Amino acid sequence: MADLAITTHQLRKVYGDTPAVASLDLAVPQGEIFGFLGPNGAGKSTCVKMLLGLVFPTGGNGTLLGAPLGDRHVKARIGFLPELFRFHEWFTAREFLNFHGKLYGMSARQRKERISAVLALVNLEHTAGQQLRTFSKGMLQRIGIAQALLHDPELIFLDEPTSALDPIGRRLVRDIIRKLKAEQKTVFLNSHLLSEVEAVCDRVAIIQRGEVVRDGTLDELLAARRLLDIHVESMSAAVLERVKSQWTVATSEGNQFTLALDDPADVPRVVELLVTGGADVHHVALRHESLEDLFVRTVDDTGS
Amino acid sequence: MTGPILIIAHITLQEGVRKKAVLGGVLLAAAFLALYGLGMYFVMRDLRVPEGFVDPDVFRDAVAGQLLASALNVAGMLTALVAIFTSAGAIATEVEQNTLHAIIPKPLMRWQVLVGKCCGLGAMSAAFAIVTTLALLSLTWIFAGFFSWSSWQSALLLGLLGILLTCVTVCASTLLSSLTAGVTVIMLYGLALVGGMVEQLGVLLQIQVMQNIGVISSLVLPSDALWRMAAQRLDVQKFAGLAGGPFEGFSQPSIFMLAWALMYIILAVLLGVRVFGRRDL
Ligand SMILES: Nc1ncnc2c1ncn2[C@@H]1O[C@H](COP(=O)(O)OP(=O)(O)O)[C@@H](O)[C@H]1O
Ligand SMILES: [Mg+2]
Repeated sequence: MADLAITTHQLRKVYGDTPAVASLDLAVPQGEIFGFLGPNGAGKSTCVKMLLGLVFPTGGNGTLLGAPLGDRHVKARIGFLPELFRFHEWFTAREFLNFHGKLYGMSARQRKERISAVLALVNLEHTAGQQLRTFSKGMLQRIGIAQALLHDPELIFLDEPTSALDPIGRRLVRDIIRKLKAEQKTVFLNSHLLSEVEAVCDRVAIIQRGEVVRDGTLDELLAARRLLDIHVESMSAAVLERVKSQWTVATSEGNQFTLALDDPADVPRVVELLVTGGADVHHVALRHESLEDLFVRTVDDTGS
Repeated sequence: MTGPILIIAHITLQEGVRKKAVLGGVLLAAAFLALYGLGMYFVMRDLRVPEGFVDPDVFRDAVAGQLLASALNVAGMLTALVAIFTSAGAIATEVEQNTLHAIIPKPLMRWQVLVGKCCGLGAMSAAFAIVTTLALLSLTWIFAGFFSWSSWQSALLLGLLGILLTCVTVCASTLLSSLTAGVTVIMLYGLALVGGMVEQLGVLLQIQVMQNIGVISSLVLPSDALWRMAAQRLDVQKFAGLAGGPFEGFSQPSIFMLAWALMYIILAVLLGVRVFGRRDL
């Protein structure tokens, strides 16, 4: 088993009487892209803030790169893009990065070299001399990513890195994350943009009310269930009842519905039942569950 | 260990320049000094020594001394305003705007951020106080020929006043919103000011209770005590009986108050470090 970049053990944060994070156990292997998913208010940002020393846990503990939370030497090997970031707006982009480079403890030469590199990485070379107050939200988010990657960290936390980005910006971030993976960095990605998570992550954890309700590698999670999309016309209620009695209807909308199959070998039997029942079958397609399906199902199951 | 402190102090100063706080301070000081210089010039030009007064030079010095002491009083208040207004948001605004989210996870400690802020802001207020006071002394010398060798200490004591109020305000700013922090420290400052007046009156009327009130208010915040020490170093008391005026300095704070002011600064920073060190951001 690879070394773990992040572990948490019953990590907990209570604000007043309401737990923001109930009890969190995580294990993120080094070199993986980890998707941390959950509905709004599930406690994702609170969890990251506890790991980074911005918020003090009510209970539990954790480690980053093998050291207990708050270790100053480990902090030098970590990059972080905050969610609700506001940077000092009177800085120019280059001054801003220079300031953060100093905080990371980088030498003047390292800073000079790396600032140019990260500005190019996030496509902001041409605005290096511009004050941050003139930046759009998307540009701020990109300069924030540049700030997180400036010192070439081993472990990178990105809290909703694409929330303000246009499709091109999102693709840019996706490429950056893939590049980080190729360099064997660990990325902890907070997001509720599931298609993006699906495109880059090796492993995901879905949390709700501050507890992990599902986790595993993306492959194993999505392979667990097959979905059969069906489009039929003129199906009698009796046939529908018989289908329902044998298989689970995941979703249905008018003449289209989706069955959840435990065994893909059931497909011919489904079709036979429909056809012999007199329904006109227009379309049948077997597919893996998407992350969105899994997410909605998980959150529905455990919600309410 | 000092690295991060210096970095934070540096950007605090840079922020002061960029956000025009420094420019505002310079303009404020310039306007005040221009007014003082002009006033001193005309007073000295048109001054008539009362008949029967033995030594006209002593009378001129006495008048100049009273003007200088009044001006130092205003300089103290301006220093207080500058210190409080620049520091009221030191931590509070950064917390409200989440700018600390990108800073605290870096390899530095929270106390270094707070101490760095105190250094940067304290340097600004102290510079304001010292430069303004030295300019007042120069103007007095130029236009009235009045000068006292101990008055450089007034500049330092006023600088210390700036640092004291900066650190107290930064400390308040770790706990309160910028507005509340500013108002709280202004109220403490006002309390010390009134306490100081009560003490002066108490000395004049020889009422012990009033003097005690003054001492207690100086313990609550030694700002007025520092100002009175600064005024004493101007060396104008000897004329008090001649020219009269509100700054006759009946009682001088003991050296103990200076020690208390220094300790107060350290305590304010420690308390700020403690509160900020435990706060969720
Ligand atoms: N400073 C705070 N004080 C009180 N409640 C908070 C605070 N920060 C977050 N919360 C609450 O904690 C829960 C989790 O928030 P958060 O971690 O931001 O969720 P997410 O990032 O998953 O959307 C939310 O219900 C939120 O209202
Ligand atoms: Mg969040």
